[in-house]
Amino acid sequence: MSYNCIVIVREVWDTRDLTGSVLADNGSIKDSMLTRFEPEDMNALEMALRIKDEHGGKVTAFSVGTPKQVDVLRECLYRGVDEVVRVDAGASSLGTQAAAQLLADAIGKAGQYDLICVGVTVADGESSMLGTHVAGKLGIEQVSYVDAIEEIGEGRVVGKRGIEMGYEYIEAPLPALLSVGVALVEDDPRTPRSAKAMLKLKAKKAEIPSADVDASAVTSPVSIAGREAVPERAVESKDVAAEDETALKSMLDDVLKGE
Amino acid sequence: MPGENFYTENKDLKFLMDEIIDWKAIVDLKEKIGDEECPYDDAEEAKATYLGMLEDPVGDIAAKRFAPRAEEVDTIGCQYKDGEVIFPEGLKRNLQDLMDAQLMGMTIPREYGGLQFPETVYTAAIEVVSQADASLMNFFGLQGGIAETIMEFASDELKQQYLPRMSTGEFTGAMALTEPDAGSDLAAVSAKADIEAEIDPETGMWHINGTKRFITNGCGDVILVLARSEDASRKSGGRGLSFFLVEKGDTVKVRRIENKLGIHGSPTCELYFDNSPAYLIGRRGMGLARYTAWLMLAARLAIGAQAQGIAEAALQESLKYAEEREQFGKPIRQFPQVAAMLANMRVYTEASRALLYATSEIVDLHQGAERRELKEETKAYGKLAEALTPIAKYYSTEIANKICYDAIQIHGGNGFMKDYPVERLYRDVRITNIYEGTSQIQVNWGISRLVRGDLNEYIAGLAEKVTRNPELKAEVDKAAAVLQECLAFLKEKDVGYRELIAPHAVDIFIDVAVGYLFLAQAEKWEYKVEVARKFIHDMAPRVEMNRQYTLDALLVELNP
Amino acid sequence: MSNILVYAEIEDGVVHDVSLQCLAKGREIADASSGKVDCLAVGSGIRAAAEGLGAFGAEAVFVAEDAKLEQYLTSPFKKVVSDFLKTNSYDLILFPATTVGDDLAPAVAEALGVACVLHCDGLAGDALTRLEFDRKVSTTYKAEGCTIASLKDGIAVAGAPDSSRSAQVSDVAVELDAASTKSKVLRRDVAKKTVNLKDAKIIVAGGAGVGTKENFSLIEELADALGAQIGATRAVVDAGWLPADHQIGQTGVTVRPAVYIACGISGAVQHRVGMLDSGKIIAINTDKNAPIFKIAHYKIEGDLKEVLPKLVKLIKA
Ligand SMILES: Cc1cc2nc3c(=O)[nH]c(=O)nc-3n(C[C@H](O)[C@H](O)[C@H](O)COP(=O)(O)OP(=O)(O)OC[C@H]3O[C@@H](n4cnc5c(N)ncnc54)[C@H](O)[C@@H]3O)c2cc1C
Ligand SMILES: Cc1cc2nc3c(=O)[nH]c(=O)nc-3n(C[C@H](O)[C@H](O)[C@H](O)COP(=O)(O)OP(=O)(O)OC[C@H]3O[C@@H](n4cnc5c(N)ncnc54)[C@H](O)[C@@H]3O)c2cc1C
Repeated sequence: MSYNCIVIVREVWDTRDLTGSVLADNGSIKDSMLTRFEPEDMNALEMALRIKDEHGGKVTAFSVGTPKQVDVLRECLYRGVDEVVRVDAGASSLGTQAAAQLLADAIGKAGQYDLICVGVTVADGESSMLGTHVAGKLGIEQVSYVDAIEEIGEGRVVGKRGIEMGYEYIEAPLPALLSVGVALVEDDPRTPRSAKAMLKLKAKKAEIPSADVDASAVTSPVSIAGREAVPERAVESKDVAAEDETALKSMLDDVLKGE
Repeated sequence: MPGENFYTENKDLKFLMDEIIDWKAIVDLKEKIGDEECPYDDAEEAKATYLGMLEDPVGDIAAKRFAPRAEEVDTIGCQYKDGEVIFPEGLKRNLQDLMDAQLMGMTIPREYGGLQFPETVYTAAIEVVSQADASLMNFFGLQGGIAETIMEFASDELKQQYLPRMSTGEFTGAMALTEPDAGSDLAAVSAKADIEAEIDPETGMWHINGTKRFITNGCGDVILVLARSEDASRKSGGRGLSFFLVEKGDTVKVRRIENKLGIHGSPTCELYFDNSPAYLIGRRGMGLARYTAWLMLAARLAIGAQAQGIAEAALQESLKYAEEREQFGKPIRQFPQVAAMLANMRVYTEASRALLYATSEIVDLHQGAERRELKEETKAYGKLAEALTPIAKYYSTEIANKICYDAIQIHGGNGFMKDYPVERLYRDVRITNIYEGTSQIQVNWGISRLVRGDLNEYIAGLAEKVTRNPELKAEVDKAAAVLQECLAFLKEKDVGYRELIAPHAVDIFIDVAVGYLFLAQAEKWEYKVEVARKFIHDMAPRVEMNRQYTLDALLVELNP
Repeated sequence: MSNILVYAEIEDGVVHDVSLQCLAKGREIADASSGKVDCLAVGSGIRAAAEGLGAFGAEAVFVAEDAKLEQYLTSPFKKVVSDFLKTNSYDLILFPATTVGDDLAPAVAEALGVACVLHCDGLAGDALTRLEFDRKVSTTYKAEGCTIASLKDGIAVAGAPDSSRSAQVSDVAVELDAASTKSKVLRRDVAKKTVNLKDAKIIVAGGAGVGTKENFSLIEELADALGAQIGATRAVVDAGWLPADHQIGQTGVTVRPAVYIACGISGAVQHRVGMLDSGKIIAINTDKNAPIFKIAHYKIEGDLKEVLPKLVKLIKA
């Protein structure tokens, strides 16, 4: 049995190795800030591609943004996704819930599907869990914090869901949406696959089709009211001599006051 | 974040690829822009594609997958049991990843399922992969030379039969030249091809008998074999040797694998050919002079890149360690001698890289001209490629050995322990200046070409490209004059004397070439002015020393 | 005026600490705007814990109890919570930012068609703030109309129970239809934790500097004297001196105790990220340049084998 999978992918701010300030003088995010493929979406993509590797079928990737913002879709093609769809968001950034509405509209028009995978992430400048909103709008079951698919078949999927003290295994009927976490791979550094060279050669100029949805028709209930730089945390520290019992005592008194 | 991508994090390599390599010249010769089959609209697009590929997949899988497995691959190593070679799990995964990333046919033409990338891109890819795991390079980096030899010289049927499966990585290759009594001296090869039996008239198949030793990946699927096909009484030595392709099978027995100092992830096999069916490649009697020479040229560039990658790894490990380790209340990198070692490691890593990629560029131009059947250019570039390749291989591998030596020194006692990767690097690097021809063999080649004047125009060309930093250039010009003085002197000397001083004279050439290359780089990247200044500052006494060795060598045999 | 509902996550008969923090935060906002704070608890066998919420400041507590709600699952819980909210109106609904809260909050927001902001580190009036860009930027979100938010651990200090206060407790009818019971929990592999570091007020953590497994008795004695939990670095776990659930850091747990005593820990970044937000950090290390000292409030340069017994003695005195 083969499956039609959908992945939702995002290009997000690259917050690794941030030095200096993120904000420009006018409070907006600096132009020099880089973006990258959201790593948890990359895990979601890997999950979908593995289903295709094992069971056959098709993987379609969706992303919301301007043509420039959806380089991630090309990255998907390089990794073996069959089709990509850009969902145009118009000029401004939409917010999670409005983006979810557009995605649900676009996915609804794209035909039959069995599974949707998306990163669990709530990224910088995003305020909620995209996958849960999409599932809600499509009226399908969803499981979040899924680290691995245990089983898929007979109209259902079993996801291994990472929770605070361990894992739980949740069975959901297809079609379902999985919000995917980080721990795809445990024993070996098999991070999500890299590009495939031949595919990259072939798909580098592939046209990226747009979904027929109307961004002006959706509104977001949430908006960003402002951004402020957070000062580096400074610690006031005291040296306490190891042999000075009085100093040790007063340190203990200080820290244990509230307890 | 370091350790995410071994291409984008390697600023020097990236600079060479972005700014120094003349991609237009290469693409114009190697691609038919405008042709329907050509995937590029112009050289810019080709360049962007090449470099994009170095970033992802090459740099990405090297850092994220190969590097983390390197220690395990080294510790477990390849094993041998009942005639079979058993790969460590990590190696199997590495090979699968290379296949999944569709990288095994980097230089194989697109019509045979490859990427048809230039040697320069392949060389960079080999460097990046070797930085992660030097032993893996012996699968990834030898594939190219073997496939290209088939591409250049084998029949169309053989190409159809083997190249597509080499592109996917289903087939890996080996080159079986060395024998117990034929190492540096390959003319002594004794494996026999069909000397008694007749060639099978039906299949055109030959049959090979004999033993080959030290064969990297001898358990691979496609084995190129150098064997004696001619009657020794009529055609002796190298002229009696031909080149064959043997496919893995029951008649090809792996008798043992070697227990080695390093590159544990690369099986070194002793092969026994028991009347193994073989296809002749090219013409009889040309096995050594033409095909082996061709294959070795490609493989030498690859080994140079392997050493380059190990050097980069050792440099990065050392920089990290010298920052973290504190003695006498400060990070050890602040002590003058440690700082000097680190600076030298960087300068010479970049020096050998400069020469390596200048060479790969020439090799590309040569191949391109040859495929375009441009007679003049083919000859000119061919002459350069044959002279530069052994010198670049010699320099990269010797430098990399020095860098790994210093890397251990910087790590102190920790460096001697298996807990730190430099210990592995130190062992792995040691093979690079031995196989594919020892350093001695490389400089012997180099000196003969230098004395013949094959590189004179090349040096003049490098000098002409330098338009700024006149004081520094004047220093290099002086060294260039010393080189000419030495070469003129050597013209009058016999081969014995030339080979005796070969490393010294070749070193002068290298200093001159790298000096000019650095100055050219300095015109594109301000940082390189300092690198050039340091290199040129330090080369003056070295050039003088090598001059004296060259002009007045003393060979003694001491028997107390 | 703000009317606030707090989702009380109850596990094994205990209200999750972050839910209590949400309640404390809700109380603060409601008091400032003369509004009210109620709690909703959903599950099975949760009544006793839910009733106790009055003592933490809830005015009304609604309990949706049903054997089918024994284990958390999105759809049935979403159904119960959104059914409740269709007949009870609130301006702000607060969830703890846990794997349950973060799952349920957006699902409920979808069912009701209201705004949702997750992982808030701050809440003031109608401004929801989140630390973003590696904690370098605080972004303020504003929402229109009824708003659902999840609040992160550390948003407030869970107040002490005040037994003089109590809440009016009422039952909520649970109606689960076929549509809300399509998924099921097949099984749960939850490690029986030997420690609960997340809720610990004081943690004494040992690193490779402790030297041997036997020497951990020094750590234990101090922990006993303080009523503290024991944490460890990966070096310690790798050495087999303590089980993995003691590991703090990037690949262990993240903790925010009021007091963190780091003994023989160098303070590698992978460890620091797991304990950086501790209230007060005491570090004991023989190496005055150990990175841990850069984030410590109290720096004790010395041998833990001497310092720890001294501390125990001082505490017991
Ligand atoms: C790990 C490993 C993998 C290998 N893989 C392959 C492979 O895949 N295929 C293959 O065919 N071979 C392979 N080889 C063989 C390798 O190429 C030879 O070992 C190498 O060429 C040197 O030959 P030798 O070992 O016989 O040394 P020798 O030729 O015996 O050399 C011994 C010493 O004498 C010096 N010497 C010899 N001749 C001269 C001269 N004319 N002038 C100055 N000095 C000289 C050498 O530099 C060296 O220092 C491999 C070897 C190793 C160790
Ligand atoms: C991907 C990754 C994830 C990781 N995740 C984690 C993680 O989640 N948690 C974690 O802790 N680590 C983690 N690590 C490991 C981390 O990098 C450090 O190696 C580890 O935290 C070091 O532990 P340590 O401080 O106990 O040991 P060390 O670094 O060896 O430090 C021991 C310290 O004890 C001091 N000391 C020695 N003797 C004494 C004495 N008698 N009295 C007082 N002080 C003494 C020494 O001066 C030294 O500072 C991770 C690493 C990686 C690469």
